[in-house]
Amino acid sequence: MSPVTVGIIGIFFLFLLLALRMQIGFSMALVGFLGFTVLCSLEASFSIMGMVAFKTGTAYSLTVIPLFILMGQFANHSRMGMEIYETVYRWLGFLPGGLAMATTGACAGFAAISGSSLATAATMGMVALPEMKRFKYDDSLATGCIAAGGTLGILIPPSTVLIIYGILTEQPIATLFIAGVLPGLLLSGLFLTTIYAMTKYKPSLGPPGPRFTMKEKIYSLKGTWSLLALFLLVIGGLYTGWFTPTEAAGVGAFGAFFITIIKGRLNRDNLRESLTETVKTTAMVFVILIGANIFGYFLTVSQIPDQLSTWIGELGLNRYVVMSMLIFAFIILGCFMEGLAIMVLTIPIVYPMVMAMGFDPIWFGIIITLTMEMSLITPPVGINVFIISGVAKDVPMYTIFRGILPFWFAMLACIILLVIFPHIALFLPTSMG
Amino acid sequence: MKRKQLGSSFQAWVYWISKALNSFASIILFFMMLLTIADVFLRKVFSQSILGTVEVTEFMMVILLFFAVTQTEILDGHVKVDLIMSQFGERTKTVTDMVIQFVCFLLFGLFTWSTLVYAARMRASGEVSQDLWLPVYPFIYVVALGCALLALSLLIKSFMAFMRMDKS
Repeated sequence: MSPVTVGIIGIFFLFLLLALRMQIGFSMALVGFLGFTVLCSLEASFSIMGMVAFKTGTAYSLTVIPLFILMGQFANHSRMGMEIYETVYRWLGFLPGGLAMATTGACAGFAAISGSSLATAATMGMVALPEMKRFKYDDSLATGCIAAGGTLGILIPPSTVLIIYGILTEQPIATLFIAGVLPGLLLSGLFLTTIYAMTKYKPSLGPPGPRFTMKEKIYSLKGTWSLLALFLLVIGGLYTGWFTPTEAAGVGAFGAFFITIIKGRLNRDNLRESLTETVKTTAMVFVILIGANIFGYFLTVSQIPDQLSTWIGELGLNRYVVMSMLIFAFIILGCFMEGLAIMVLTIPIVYPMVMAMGFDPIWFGIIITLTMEMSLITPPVGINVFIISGVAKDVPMYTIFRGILPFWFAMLACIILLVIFPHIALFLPTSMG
Repeated sequence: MKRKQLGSSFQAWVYWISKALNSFASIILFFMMLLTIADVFLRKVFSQSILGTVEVTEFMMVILLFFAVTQTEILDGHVKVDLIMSQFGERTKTVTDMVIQFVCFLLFGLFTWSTLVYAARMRASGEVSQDLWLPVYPFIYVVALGCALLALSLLIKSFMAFMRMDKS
């Protein structure tokens, strides 16, 4: 059997195990171990296995993961999400569809301290949904804008997805974070435009909220300036090269911890909860990374990534045709699997091919992240939708999915814009210190 | 009946240990944050960094991770793809769970074994860390301990699925 055949059998076997509900990290480790044994030797495979767990656990560059997750956890417990919403609400609420716009804005703001889309959606669901209900917003718009806005969590830095992409492809995390800023703003803008267009077309979807005086607007910044300062310190520090990613993450976590203390919202319970939640997510992510690492050894000796890249090259297709097919495939996979799983499974296979076609690695990271965002809201497995339906128990799932559709198209538009103008993602990184 | 009692006290032990280790992991995480911020502060303000921050952070990371990995499994925190099996009946699900989790138990048994071999090799070579000259091998034993406990929790899961099957 040729290595490529073994590789293909291995990939099929992996999908079978996943379908049988084996933990993703475990199944990648198992298939990687068996495949490497077949292609090399049991001895080599055994010694890789012994080393990989320790080596992955002690990689200094990976310590950003728990620290950035911790930052988001403290941000959750400080109830900063509520304050961001309050601020944006006062500034935008009076517009037609203004509450939905405020929700999107607040999602973007919360995303700037949290690297998780789920946390962003859950927080905003609790804060913004009751308010939109009070002003008789259409259920589909209200739930749709939160589910979609929540996905900004992984595009606007800090972002767990970008960290993992950086680890899998050996790209600098700082650069990826900076590259996410402008596309994040662009996507937020597209969401706002979508809401504006929808309420213009059908005003009953989102009636205007109350108007506030300038004084009240300015006053509302009181609760949010600390958050803005923290974001500027962390991301600015990364941009200017003043901090390494781990340092930035440490500063961010401590800053969020400190803000929670001065706001008087830290107690034993939520400190413990922040820590245990972080530890749990960290263990989950690292187990997947360890599995991906072992699987990666197997993939490399199977020569599949190289062969695929050569094969696509020989087809002589235009590279943008190939990229469109890839994006399409990611979107389809996203309907059935979670973003993190898709990434660890596919990046090692397609990344060499994408690089051979001459695409920019940082830009590709942003594109992948956007498709991961879509995967969070597409049926049948759209995690953000599940979260929102947990908060809005009276709204049927179908209504939420219908509400998401316009935002889904906004995301697609964002991807297309990024393919046409890669500079949206690459402008800031090229000017980094 | 007696066998069942023995089984459940075994389970109670494994769960208790993993919970205790998990709490310890949380504390380590907190100190990791403090160490990072202290090092950054001292370096940026007094241009004086703490010796060995990088390696201590790495060692803390490995403890955090492998002390937390079992509790995460017990809480079903390791991501699975649910879509396909959720279409099947309860009995099919129970049977596949039993088999799959038993395979996972074997996998982590293997992880434990291979890590122990690696730890013994590193111990014999006497490798130490760069700045503080801490021996590296104890931390590899931490990995082995984490994997072993995880393996036991997976065995319990498989066994619990078996008991459910017995009942139905």
